[in-house]
Amino acid sequence: MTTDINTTINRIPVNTYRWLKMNEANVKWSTINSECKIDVDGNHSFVDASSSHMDDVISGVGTTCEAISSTFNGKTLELSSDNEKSSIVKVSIFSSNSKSSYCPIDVLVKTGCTMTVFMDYNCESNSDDSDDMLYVKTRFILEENATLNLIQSQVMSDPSSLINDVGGICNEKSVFNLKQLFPGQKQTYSGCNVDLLGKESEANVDIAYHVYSKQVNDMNYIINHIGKNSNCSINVNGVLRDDAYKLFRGTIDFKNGSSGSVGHEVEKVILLGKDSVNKTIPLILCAEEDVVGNHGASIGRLDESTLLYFASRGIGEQEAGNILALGMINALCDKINDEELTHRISSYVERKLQNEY
Amino acid sequence: MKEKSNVNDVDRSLYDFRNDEKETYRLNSGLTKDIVEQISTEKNDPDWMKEFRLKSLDVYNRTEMPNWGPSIEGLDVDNIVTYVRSNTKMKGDWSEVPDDIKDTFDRLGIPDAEKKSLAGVGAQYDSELVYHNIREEVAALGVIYTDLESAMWGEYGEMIREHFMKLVPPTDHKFAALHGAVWSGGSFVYVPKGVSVDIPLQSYFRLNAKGAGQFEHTLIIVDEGASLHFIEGCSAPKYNVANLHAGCVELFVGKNAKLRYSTIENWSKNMYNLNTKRAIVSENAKMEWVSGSFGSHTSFLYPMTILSGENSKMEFTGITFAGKGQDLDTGAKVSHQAKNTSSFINTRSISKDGGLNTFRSSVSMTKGSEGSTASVSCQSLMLDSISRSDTIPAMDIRCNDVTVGHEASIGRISDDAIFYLMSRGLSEEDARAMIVNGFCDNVSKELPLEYAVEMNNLIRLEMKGAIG
Repeated sequence: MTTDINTTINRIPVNTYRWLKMNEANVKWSTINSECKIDVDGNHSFVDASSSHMDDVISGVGTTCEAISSTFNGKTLELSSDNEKSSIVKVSIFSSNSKSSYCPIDVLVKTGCTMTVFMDYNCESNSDDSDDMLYVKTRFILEENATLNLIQSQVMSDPSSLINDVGGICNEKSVFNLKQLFPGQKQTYSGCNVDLLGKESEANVDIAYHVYSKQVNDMNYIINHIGKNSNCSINVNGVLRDDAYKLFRGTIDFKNGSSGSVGHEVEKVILLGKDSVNKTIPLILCAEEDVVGNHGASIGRLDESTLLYFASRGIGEQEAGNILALGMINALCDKINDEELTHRISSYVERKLQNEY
Repeated sequence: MKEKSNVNDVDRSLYDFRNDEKETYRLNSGLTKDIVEQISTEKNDPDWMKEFRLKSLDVYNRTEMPNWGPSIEGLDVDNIVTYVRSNTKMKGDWSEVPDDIKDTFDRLGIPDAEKKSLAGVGAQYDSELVYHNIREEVAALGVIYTDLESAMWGEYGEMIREHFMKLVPPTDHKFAALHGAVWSGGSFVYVPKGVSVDIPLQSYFRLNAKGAGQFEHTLIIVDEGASLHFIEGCSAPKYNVANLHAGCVELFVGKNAKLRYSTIENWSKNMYNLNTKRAIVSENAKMEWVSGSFGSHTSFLYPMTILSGENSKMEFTGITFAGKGQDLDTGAKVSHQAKNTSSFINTRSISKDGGLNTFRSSVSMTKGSEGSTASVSCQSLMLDSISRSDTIPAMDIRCNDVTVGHEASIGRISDDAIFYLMSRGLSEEDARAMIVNGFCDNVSKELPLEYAVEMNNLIRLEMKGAIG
């Protein structure tokens, strides 16, 4: 597909050395030229984009991405818990064959309610060769004591590209749980910005990815601790193979006044490709004394003892890599309470691994 | 209820004294071709060096300011005097150094340390060295420790030309280019093959002149199988205008050699410290950095190590203490470029009284660095909520047969630890100082005793006045 928009997205909140080329991602994208098909199972409505109440919500990919969405004149999918104590909504989004499409989604979870939203991204053509471009922007507001479980997964074609943007605000004692599965496609740009505005609000992010061939996975996750005693965790697990490129930016930002807050960030990367590029920049920004923040990263190949374990069972390094890649995806799938979806993702990854390796 | 601690401003009287600038020669402020040519003439540069300076000036004029790091808006190079010389030549005997300058170094304890624990000393005052000496027995081993300017004209001239600003080229960044244009002073050290210098050499840099810059260049070559510990100290009196330090350190560590480079940086709090340090480490060699950053208004300081030889190693141990009015951006960089290399970056930072602290690092593993390991550990302590502490580590891994680990934490002094120490009779102030001293132990234990004591004194000064 031809690209006519060049923009920078996924900017980290504080720049570092220019030569690292990690401060932001340069993206080439196509002007939105198609509407994507959306299947929704659950309470929802479609509204004019101009009537959104979430324009103040900051997302992870950043406002520069509006260069792509500015020509969009379709509707915004609006999901609201209304006053249901517990609700589930399933959203399947289908990109248009070899076209560029955009899907804005606003989620409002009202006081004391729990909402679970499953979102899966597919190619409408069901073809392995379609080079679709899909940009999905999900914004949310959680009122007091509300919980949003957001599960996002993509099972698109290899040549397709995805920008997956998330941004939201958590009010007092609300909880945002995000689980994302990125089993691999030509380009994945994902960003997430969460403002923990209310005291004792919480955000938990779990990501599993598999990047192979010449694929790109560029991530930017920012959790802003604003309210007192707010908590966050970011767990990122992934496998890189072949010539794959992955960049993970993870920021925990303790704003002044967020006393008593705690933030943890852990990343584990298994490098299976000799020519793969792994970049990681985990930031902790801290303007508050009474907080605890930490991050850790472990990057490397399969260690000797793991390889020996597999070898003793007649499993070679390549297959061991497949098992681990699948294991990382399945470990996150196990935390998702939807058998049909997790089976579909698992089968998708398994099929990819069999085809590729 | 959690108790709060107030921390008083620092008493820097030990370092904060100044001499009159009588009989000093200073160029006009700013940076022009004329000024660079005047410096070159003053220093009796060889032709290649004069040409190098002018090319660097050109690079400086073409290079953008960094778009990251602390603000340097308060620094206007047009107001900086790049060359200030006192009315004395470099001496080899303290008794020949003019009284006011000798008194300065006496108060800083340099001649005393030379007698007790150093193999040689270089003392720079503003833009020029005023004293350089090396113990006879060390010189007898063939160790060269002298000023760079005279070495350029002697036996080692070609060696200097071969190495000068090759590790840190003027194109590296704007202030490397500035350094290339106006550098003056610094030291040249050559340790021959197989020679072990058992006691350290030290260079001390004192910037006395108001509104001036110091641009010393340190070039150390440790040849195959040799070893050296080099200590660098620096200080300046405080003025109400900006001073600038844009030094450059280039270290070449030969096969099987070992170099430890220790720094206690205590510039005054009007100083912009935009210093560049870099080492290249050959096969089976080891580079150790020990770095204490206490002074400056603003710092950009990230010693870089290039592990170019198989089995080469690097350790960086650092502490940064940012107080009122300080924005200290420090850390380390390492590039693994050969098989089975290893690096360990271990830092502590403390922020108090509105001080801004940033730990910034990069670890890169290039193709061909199979079997290498890197580990980064940074811990930050926040002593109040008007301060700030940021951690910005970056990793760029392009080889799959490597192991990279990273951990970082930010937090405050635990109330339980204070309570425990107070229950054993310590005041809260002493308890806090003891915990902070313990927190900094990674650096102090790596320093020679005298310097560890000096560092602990600095921390005690910084902590003085903590009350419950």
